[in-house]
Amino acid sequence: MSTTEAAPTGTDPADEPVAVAPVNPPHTGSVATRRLGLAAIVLLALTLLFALVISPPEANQRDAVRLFYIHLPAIAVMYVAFLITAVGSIMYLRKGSVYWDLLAGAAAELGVLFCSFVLVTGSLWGKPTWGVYWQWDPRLTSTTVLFVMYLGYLAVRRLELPPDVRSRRAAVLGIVSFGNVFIVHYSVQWWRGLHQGQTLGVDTKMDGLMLFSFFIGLVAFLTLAAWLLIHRFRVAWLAREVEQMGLAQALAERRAETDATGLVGRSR
Amino acid sequence: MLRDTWLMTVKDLRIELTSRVVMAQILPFGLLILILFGLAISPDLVVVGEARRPVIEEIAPGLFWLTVLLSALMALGRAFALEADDGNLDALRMAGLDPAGVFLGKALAVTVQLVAVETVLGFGAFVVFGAPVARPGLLAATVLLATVGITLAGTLYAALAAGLRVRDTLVPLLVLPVLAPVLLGATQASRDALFADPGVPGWSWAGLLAVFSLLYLGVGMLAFGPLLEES
Amino acid sequence: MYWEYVAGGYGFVAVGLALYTTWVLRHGRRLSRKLPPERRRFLD
Repeated sequence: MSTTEAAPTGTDPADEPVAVAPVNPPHTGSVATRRLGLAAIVLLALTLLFALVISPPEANQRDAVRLFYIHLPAIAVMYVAFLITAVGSIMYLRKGSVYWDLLAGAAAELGVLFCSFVLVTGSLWGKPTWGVYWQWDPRLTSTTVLFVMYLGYLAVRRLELPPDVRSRRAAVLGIVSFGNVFIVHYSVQWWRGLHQGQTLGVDTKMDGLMLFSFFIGLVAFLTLAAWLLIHRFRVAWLAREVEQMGLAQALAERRAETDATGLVGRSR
Repeated sequence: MLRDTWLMTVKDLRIELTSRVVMAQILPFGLLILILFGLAISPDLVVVGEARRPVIEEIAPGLFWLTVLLSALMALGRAFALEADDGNLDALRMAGLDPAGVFLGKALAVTVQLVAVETVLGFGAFVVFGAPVARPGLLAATVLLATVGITLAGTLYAALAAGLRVRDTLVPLLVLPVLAPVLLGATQASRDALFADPGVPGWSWAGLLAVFSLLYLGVGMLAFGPLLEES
Repeated sequence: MYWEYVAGGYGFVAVGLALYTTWVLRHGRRLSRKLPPERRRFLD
């Protein structure tokens, strides 16, 4: 995160006072992301302060409750990210615009990352509270299935296919996967509900300070996720540009070659 | 569309009749898995609960459905390996077949083959694991609904990786998490069908399987068009 | 009490975020250098 403002802002060679068309810098930062990144750093620092120092330990869970201040925000980011993937996929299939496809892919990667945070902080919270790292808790089980499902989505995005075919397949998968989230969650919940009464919830009474710590964590994580999403989107866009440029170059070379030899090259 | 479905189904079943890959390779594979489960789980272990029965009998429904899932993965791989060579999927599209018909046809052919495999596997499981059958009607409904769910969802996901070198490794990764609810529902409903378990509402779980199948029926018919295009 | 779990959780998230962020930023720089400046534009 700290690299945003460390990025050379005014040191570009073509940094003239009258910038009609500014030369694009060789990185994915911009004025907007730099401000957003700064806000994310400040908010994350505040989160750490409130979550680890200011807020009190809880009566039953003691200090383990502090894991919640990043666990719940990570859940929020995860669901928002997967929702963006689904919306991006729908829009891609409807409009065929490559931007929606890249957005869907960037969001899915972010969702998987935060899903891993959810799983790790969740089971680390479970050890002191439940006594074990893993419980056949509906939410834990269905989140794990969700994690694997989106790993599959990311695998499809890396398939060696023509870009538009790959994007279309990924879009179908992005939509169906989001629907699956509900089916898996509902069925697992029903299964556990039948076997041992209710979900293993621990009633937590959130007082004002705890609620505020959680709230600031939520805002911080969402800001950070937005910042990451913009950068990841731009990286995906650059990767696509490089790929297309490489293709154009290869074509040009091939053409020059055929012109030189006077043969009609069989491209294989 | 129904005509296209029928054409695809008959075509795939005819190929199976001449090649016998499912019956001669996938079915023995399933039986082997059942035997291996039996070896991995000692038949002498006993569940000490209200009913004293061997562990293997207690978990027989789960083992059976896991075996079915693994066999289904192979059958699906086989169904799309048929189309991978010589640009067959392009040929199907050029022939003017309705994508929804292609989807239903492939799914129906796999369903027929899988039900045949399950029937034999079921007898195998009955012999090897020795579980009673308390409610045959529920068992039949479960087998049918679960199989339809597995093949509909499986066909959709197998098409995503059709014609790719990584297909064999990618399809299980995509399909298995999606089929987790089917495994749950089928296992629970079968438990009720076998043991008449009072705590397990078998018909409700069968209902879940039906809902799952219906959802994937709709999604598959809608999504197969974009998937087949230019693939 | 239970600080070791808290440290583990916060540590994992911090390391994960740091690694991912570094990867994204460096990857972005590497890719932009391959492109002529006029093509390094984004929709913003």
